[in-house]
Amino acid sequence: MAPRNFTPPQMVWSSECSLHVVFPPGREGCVPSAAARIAAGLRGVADVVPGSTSVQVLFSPGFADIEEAAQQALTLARDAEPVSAQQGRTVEIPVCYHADFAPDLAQVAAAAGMSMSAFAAAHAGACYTVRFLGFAPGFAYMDGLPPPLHTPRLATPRTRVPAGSVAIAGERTGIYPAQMPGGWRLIGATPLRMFDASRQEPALLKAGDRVRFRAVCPDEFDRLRQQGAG
Amino acid sequence: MHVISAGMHTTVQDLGRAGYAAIGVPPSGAADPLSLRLGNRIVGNADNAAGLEFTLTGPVLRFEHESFIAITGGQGAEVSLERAGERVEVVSHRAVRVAANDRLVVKRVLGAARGYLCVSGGISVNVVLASRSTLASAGLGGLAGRALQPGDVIPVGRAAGPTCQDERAAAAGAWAAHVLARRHLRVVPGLNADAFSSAALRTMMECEYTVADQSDRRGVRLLGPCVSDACDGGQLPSEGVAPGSVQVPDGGAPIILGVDRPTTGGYPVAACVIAADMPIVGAILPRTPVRFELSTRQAAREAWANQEAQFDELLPAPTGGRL
Repeated sequence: MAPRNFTPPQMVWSSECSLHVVFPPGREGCVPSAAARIAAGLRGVADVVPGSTSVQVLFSPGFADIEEAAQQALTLARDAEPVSAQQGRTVEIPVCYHADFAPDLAQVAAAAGMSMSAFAAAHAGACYTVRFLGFAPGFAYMDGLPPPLHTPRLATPRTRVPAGSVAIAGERTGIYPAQMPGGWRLIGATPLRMFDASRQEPALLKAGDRVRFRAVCPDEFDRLRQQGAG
Repeated sequence: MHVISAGMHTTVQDLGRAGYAAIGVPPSGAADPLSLRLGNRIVGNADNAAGLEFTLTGPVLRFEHESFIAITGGQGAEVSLERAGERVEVVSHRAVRVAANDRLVVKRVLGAARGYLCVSGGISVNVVLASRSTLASAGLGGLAGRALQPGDVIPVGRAAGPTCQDERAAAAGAWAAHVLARRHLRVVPGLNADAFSSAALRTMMECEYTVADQSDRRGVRLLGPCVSDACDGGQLPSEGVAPGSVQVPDGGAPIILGVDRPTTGGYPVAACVIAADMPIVGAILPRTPVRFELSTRQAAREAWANQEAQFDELLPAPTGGRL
């Protein structure tokens, strides 16, 4: 059981069949485990969606006992605890920071007053936590970007970001799982497939995962990508 | 079914995929689920069978096998059937028998942005993440994860229940057209309703808006008075968004989020269109005037239950539904 001296999460209705369990500042780390508890413990739920500070619970419109289920969701969330460093998975993701894979690295490094290699080393050296997935299938929003690396989004988004691009925006880092438009700054690329609907677990990352990046050279990038394709 | 021409944007859709929003996969599915279900019930399919959703203009198709089809959506569609050089008009909202080598010309949907073609047995593309629906932005589901193209061959299931009588189908069609003609969208307060001033919310609830041309399956964009004062124009932390969320980005022009919406969003959500009125959001034509009407959670659930009861009474889903 979680200590009771914390401010408990609050329930906010977001439609007649959707509610958000919102955690107070400082308790956002409970979101992934609260989402897992609600998904496992509540019936009649269509979707349970972790966000920055809340867990959204979506019911089918015809579900009869929504008000009662809402109270159960809140009870389940109250006992959630933040994912600690000992729990949960740590996923290692190879990243190539070579200029060919990192169209924005020179600019963001210059803006931070760092060399490209120092910037890449700082990005690869940190430990990240997946807060939630959104924006596109398999896109994980990760916390833990060292403050000197924080950078605003591009003023004008690119119409095409290559799949596997490792990117930063604000205080977060993320990986584009497929080719799509996007406004984050591209500082590297991974050969891993971040999302594949044919896999048992389509998304490589889930909320609460810890992530470490491992810098690889272009040759290893190619080799890993070929392994992944085979 | 062979695709001879595709129409503006025609995709395979069922009632969408639940359970994958946590990994960023939106539900997709028919933007106007009422019309898809109506077509399925007319041809004897289960509600969730996949059909074709077309946008403004429809496809031209050649059939490989005899089957029954139904055209639904809006006030019906302009459709004709070509058989051995003869051309006959196809009446919407009823089961129509098509034979091998018939050509079906779906010209345009009337009074709505989206129409549906349901075929007995349903469209039997592979199920991807628990649904046959197409999410074109991610290349997921449907036929090769994209809108139809000329030359495509669409697999159709063979099993189907009996089709429904013309009078029943026509009555249900007239009822659905009436439901979809509503222009007052009922809303309940949204996740961030408290972040708006009462003046801003009053503006939104009392003024008329017009559906913008840039609307699509991700969202219906509205033109009209700005809904200002939200969180000093700033962005909020990204959270899960409900279908029908009325999101207000920096410019103050509201967007009603649809079935292909990203699963999370950081713009403040003022209100949420109730589930019973979401088929209207999927059907509504650009340049149509709309208004919002404040409802309550309880009234919204009753509206859903009443609508379902009326639908079931006019035209129940086939028992022992297949697929």
